[in-house]
Amino acid sequence: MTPPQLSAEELELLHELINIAFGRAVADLQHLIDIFVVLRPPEADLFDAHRVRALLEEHIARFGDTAFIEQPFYGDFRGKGLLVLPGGAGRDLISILDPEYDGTAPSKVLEEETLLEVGNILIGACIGQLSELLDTHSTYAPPRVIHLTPEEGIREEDLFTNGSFSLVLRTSFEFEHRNVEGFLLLISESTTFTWLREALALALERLFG
Amino acid sequence: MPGPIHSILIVDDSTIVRRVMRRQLEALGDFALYEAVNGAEGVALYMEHRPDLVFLDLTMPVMGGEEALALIRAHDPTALVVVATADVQRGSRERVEAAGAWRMLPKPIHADVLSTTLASAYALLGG
Repeated sequence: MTPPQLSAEELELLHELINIAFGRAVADLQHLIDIFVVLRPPEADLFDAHRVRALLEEHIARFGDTAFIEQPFYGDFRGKGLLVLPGGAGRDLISILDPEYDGTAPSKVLEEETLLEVGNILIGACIGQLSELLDTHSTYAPPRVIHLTPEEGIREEDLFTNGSFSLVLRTSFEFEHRNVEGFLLLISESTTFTWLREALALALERLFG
Repeated sequence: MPGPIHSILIVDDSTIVRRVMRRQLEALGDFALYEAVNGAEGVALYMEHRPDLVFLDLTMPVMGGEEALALIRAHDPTALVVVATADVQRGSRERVEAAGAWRMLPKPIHADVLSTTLASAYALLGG
């Protein structure tokens, strides 16, 4: 199968737009919760399903128990947001959502709810900002949490992408003072590329003048 | 426009940002333009050319903008540095202002904003 094409310039512009979108998203987040997010340079590239799998497996092998918060989004720009955090991040992040949390051992349910909510906020804010930059609107399905260990590996049903080629936008970050690092993948199937090319051309003119 | 601004350094890891900003600046005047792809290159180019104005991204590989800003300002406390970044968190603004950035502009930087910023720099430098 011939890989779908996005030009180097289109990928470069997407790289910049995800940089802007995530920057705005975490700034919005600051209005809701008191946290500073250290940002790393983002990446934008075309991946086939094998490379997505290899990326995630490499992460699990390196860091062990990993929590994936997956949230599909729909519209002109559609795909899945995937927030990748350490397996124990739910426990470390509870105080973000509940400043009164007293630090006692949380229940698994509370940890899972925290992961879902942090994922929902971050993925939603990032997709929302990116959609705005591309002058479109996205809707969302509810997120779900998947825990994977090096022993389990990634199951076919958890592969997160069902197309042969995907656009993968990756941005890494750290929640300062909480010792939690992670990354966010936005995976968009190649069926969106025709629309995306037109949206990028318009965005370049509209945003930069 | 140039007046007191003859040379400008653009420090950004994004090829498209550097290209667009160069195009925007060329439309505003006849500046000597220098480009760096990370903070380390930016600091080296600053030392070499002492540009009148610097546009500096924050989130870059090799060396980020915060570290580059500190090095540039340590070398030249009068350096006029505009931080142009997608990281628009309040904490980031406070840090770069404390480190001596003249302004912080949220990306994307539209041509009109760039023109206004240059006019302000021109006024600041007594043009």
